[in-house]
Amino acid sequence: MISYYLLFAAALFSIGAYGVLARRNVLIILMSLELMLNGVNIVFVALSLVPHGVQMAPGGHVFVLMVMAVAAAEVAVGLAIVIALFRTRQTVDINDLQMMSG
Amino acid sequence: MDPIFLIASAVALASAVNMVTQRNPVYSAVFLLVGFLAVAVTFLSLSAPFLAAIHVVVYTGAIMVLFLFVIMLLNLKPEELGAEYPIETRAPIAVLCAAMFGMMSWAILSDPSLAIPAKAPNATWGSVEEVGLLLFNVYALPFELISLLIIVAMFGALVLAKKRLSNVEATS
Amino acid sequence: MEIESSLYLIPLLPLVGFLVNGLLGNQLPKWLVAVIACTGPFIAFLLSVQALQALATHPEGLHQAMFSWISTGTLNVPFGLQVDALTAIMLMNVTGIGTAIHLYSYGYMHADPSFSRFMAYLNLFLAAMLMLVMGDNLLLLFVGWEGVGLCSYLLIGFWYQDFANVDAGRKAFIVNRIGDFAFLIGAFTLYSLTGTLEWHGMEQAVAALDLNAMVVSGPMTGMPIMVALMIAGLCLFGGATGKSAQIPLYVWLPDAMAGPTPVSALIHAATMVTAGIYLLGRMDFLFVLLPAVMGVIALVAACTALLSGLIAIAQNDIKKVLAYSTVSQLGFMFAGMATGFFHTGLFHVVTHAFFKALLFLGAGAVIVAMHHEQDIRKMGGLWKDLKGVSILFIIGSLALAGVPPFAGFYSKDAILAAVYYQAASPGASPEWMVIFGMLVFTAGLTAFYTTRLVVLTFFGKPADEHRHLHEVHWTMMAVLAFLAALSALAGVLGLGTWLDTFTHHVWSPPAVEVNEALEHTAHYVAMGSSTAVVVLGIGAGLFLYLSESRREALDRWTKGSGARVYGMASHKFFVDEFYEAFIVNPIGWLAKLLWGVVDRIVIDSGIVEGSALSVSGFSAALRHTQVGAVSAATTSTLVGVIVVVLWLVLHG
Repeated sequence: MISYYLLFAAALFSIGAYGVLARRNVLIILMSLELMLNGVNIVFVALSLVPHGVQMAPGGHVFVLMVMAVAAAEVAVGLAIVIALFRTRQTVDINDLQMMSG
Repeated sequence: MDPIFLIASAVALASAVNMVTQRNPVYSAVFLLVGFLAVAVTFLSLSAPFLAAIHVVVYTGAIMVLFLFVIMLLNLKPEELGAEYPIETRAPIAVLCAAMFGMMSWAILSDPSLAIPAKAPNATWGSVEEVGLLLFNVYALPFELISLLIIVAMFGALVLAKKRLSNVEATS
Repeated sequence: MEIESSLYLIPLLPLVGFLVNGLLGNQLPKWLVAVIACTGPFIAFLLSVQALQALATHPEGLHQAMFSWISTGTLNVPFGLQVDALTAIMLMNVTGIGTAIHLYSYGYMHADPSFSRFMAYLNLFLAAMLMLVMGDNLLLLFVGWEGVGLCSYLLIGFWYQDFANVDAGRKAFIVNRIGDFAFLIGAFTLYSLTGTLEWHGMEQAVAALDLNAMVVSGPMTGMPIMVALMIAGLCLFGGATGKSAQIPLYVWLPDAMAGPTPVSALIHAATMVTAGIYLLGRMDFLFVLLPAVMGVIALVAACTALLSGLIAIAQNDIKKVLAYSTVSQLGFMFAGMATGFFHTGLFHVVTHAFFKALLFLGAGAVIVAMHHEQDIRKMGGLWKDLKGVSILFIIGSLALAGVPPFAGFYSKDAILAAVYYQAASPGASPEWMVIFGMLVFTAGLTAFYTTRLVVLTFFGKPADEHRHLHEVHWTMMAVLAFLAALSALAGVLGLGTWLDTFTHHVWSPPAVEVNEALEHTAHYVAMGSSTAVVVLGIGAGLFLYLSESRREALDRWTKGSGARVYGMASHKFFVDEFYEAFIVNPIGWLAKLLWGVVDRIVIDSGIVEGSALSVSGFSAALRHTQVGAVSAATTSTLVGVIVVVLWLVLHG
C-alpha cells in the first residue's frame, strides 16, 4: 500500500523536524535536515507509482536525484559555515549565534 | 505488505529516533548512517533500484563522510558539546511534531487513491536506463542547473571554510 | 450693446483695487493708495450709470454670460452677470455711495497706519457686493453674500489690537453664519424643486409648479409643494434676517459699530445690510405665491422696527443710536417688501442709504472733531463750533425722522401706505392692522430719538467749555454735502414715482388687481398719520431735551422711579443676555461636554492614544517572541506551516 510508505515518510519527516527544532548542536540539526529530506524523497518515489491516466514515467526518481544534489550542496555549505563559526566563536550551539536578537 | 519494507522502515525509524536524541554527534552520525541504509532498502522495495544505489553512494558515501570529517575536524570534547534544551522545551516541540505527523497521517489515510499496492507498472521501472533517458531528455535543463548549483556550493564551501589569507600569514 | 459686454468690469475694477492695495499698499504713498482705491469704484459707478441708461432700450435687462462655473452631472451653474432694473438701482446705490464713502475714508482714515489695508478691504467689499447684486444665479449671489460677510468681519475688527472689536467682528460673523445656514437650506430646497439656480430658470420653474401637487422626488417626497415653497421662502428670509439684521439675528449690527465709521456708513447702513431686502426683491416670484410667509416677514419686520426704535431712545453712544435706527429702518424696508409693493421697500433702501450714510459720516466728522469721543452726553453745543457739519447732520436727521419734504418722508410714507393698503384690503388678515400701528408708532419713535440725538449733540451747553475741536477734512465735508443734497431732494424730485415706473416690469404682479381708490385712501391715511406722529415725536423730543431743567428732571426720573422702564431700553431689553443664557451658554456647555467626554475620553484617550497604546502593547508582547533564537524562529515557522496546511486541507 502506497499510503504506508507515505506514513513512513511522514514519520521520518516529523522526527527530523523534531531534531531540527529541539536540538542545539548545529551538526545534529544538519543531520536532522538530511532525515527530513529523506522523508521527502520517499514521498517522491512512492507517489510516482500512483497511476494518473497518462503513460507513467519515473519522473519522481529524477526529482529525487535533484534533491540529493541539493542536499549534498547544502551539507557542503552548511558544514563550511559550521567550521567558520566554530573558528570564530568556539561553539556549535545554535543559541550562541543570536546575532539577530531583537 | 512487503516484509522487507516493514523491517527496513522499523530500522529506519528506530535509528532516526536514536539519531535525534543522541547527545554526542558521532553517535548520531552512526545512527544516521543506519537510517540512510534502511531508506535505501525502502527505495528498493518501491521498485527504485537505481535510486537505492545512488542513495547509498551520495548519502553514505559523500554526505556521511563529510559529516564525520567535520566532526573529527572540530574534535569536540564532551564538555564542549554545550547544553541542550530542558525537557520542558523539548516536550512541546515533540507534541508539535506529533501533531504535524497526525495531520499528515490523517491526510494520507483519508485519500482513497493512495490505498493501492505499491507495484511497478513494468519490469524496467526505475532502472538506470529509464531514469537516465528521462534525466537527459525531458529534464536536461534542470540537470544542468543543478550541476551549476553544485559548483556554486563547492566554491561557497571553499570560501567559507578556508582561513583568511591574512590570518594565515599572521599565524605563520 | 457695448456696456453689456463690459459688465464684468463693474465688480472687477474694485477687485483690482483690492489686489493692488492689498499686495502693494504698504509700499505706495497714501495719496496713490487713495487714488487707486477711489478710481475703481468711480469707474464702476460710471459704468453702472451707462448700464442704467442702457436699460431704457433693453427693458428685459442686460446679461453677460462669462463661463460655465460648476458643471457636474445634473448641477450646472453658469458664471454670468446680469443687470435689470432692480440690480441697476442697487448698482447706483452701491457704487455711488461707495465711491463717496471711499473718498470720505481718505479724509477719515489717512492718518491710520493701516490705511492701505483699510482701503483694500473697502474695495474687496465693494467687489463682493457688486457680485451679490449682479450674479445671475443664487449661488453667485451667495458668493457675494459670503464675501460681504467676510469684509464686514474684517472691517469690524479692523482695529484688532482692541479685543472688544475682534469680539464684535466674531459676533457678526457667527450670527451671520446662522443666517447663512438658513439661506443654504432655502437655496437647496428651491434647487430640489426647480432644478436650477438661475433667476430666469427658477422664475419659470416656480411659475410652472402646481401648488396643490406633492413633491415627487428628493428628500421632501410626499410633501405638498406649497409647504416646500414656504420652507424655502422662510429659510431665505432667515438668511436675510442675518444679513439685514432682523429679529432674531439683529444683535450683531449694533456691536458692528466697533468698526471705523466709514465702514458703519457703507456696510452697516447703506449697502450690505440691504442685501436681505435685495434677496427678497430678487425672489419676488417666490414670495408673491406665499402670502402667509409675507405676513410672517411683515410681522417680524414690524417687531424689529419697534424693538430697535425703543432701544435707540436709551442709547448714549452716537453710533449705537444710529445703529439701532438702522435696524429699525431695515424693519420698515422688510415690511414694505412684504406688502408685495416691492418698489416701496426698494425706495426706502435708496433714501435710507442717502440719509443714513450722511448721518454716519456726519457722526464720523463729529467723532473726529471730538477726538474720538462717541458719548453724546459729553458733546452738546457743537452747533457753535461745527456749523457746517451740524447743518448737514440735521438735514440727515430730518430725513430719517420723516419730515416732509425730505427723502425719508416719501419712502417711509410709501411703505406705510402699502401696509395700510394691505390692512384695509377686503379679506386681509387682521395682523396687518397691528403691523400698521406698530410701524406708525415706530415712525414717531424715530422722530423722537432723532430729535434727542440732534439736541444732545449740537445744542445745549457744551459738556466741556475748553475743548479744542479737531479740524474736519475737506473730502469729508464734500461727501457730506453731496449726500445731504440727495437726502433733501431725492423725494421732492420724484425718485419714488420714477422708481415705481422704472422697476415696475421687474416685479411679479400681485395676485389681485390693485384697487386704486383704496390706494389713494391709503396714501392719505399714511401721510396723515405719519406726519402727525413725526410732529409729536419731534415735539416731545424738543420739549424734553431742549430745556436744561427738564432734561435734568428726566435724568432723575431715569435714575429713580423710571429706572426699571428706562433700564429695559438702555440694556437693549436684555436680548444679548437672553441669547447668552439660553443659546450661547448651552452651546458652550454642550461643547464642553463634547470636548470632555467625546473628544478627550473617546477620541483622545480611546481612539488616538488607545490605538497607539494597543500597537505598542501588542509590540511589547510580540517582542518577547522575537528572541533571535534559531529554534524559536523555526518552531514558529513550523506552526505557521501547520496552520496554513490545515486551513488548506479543511477549506481547499
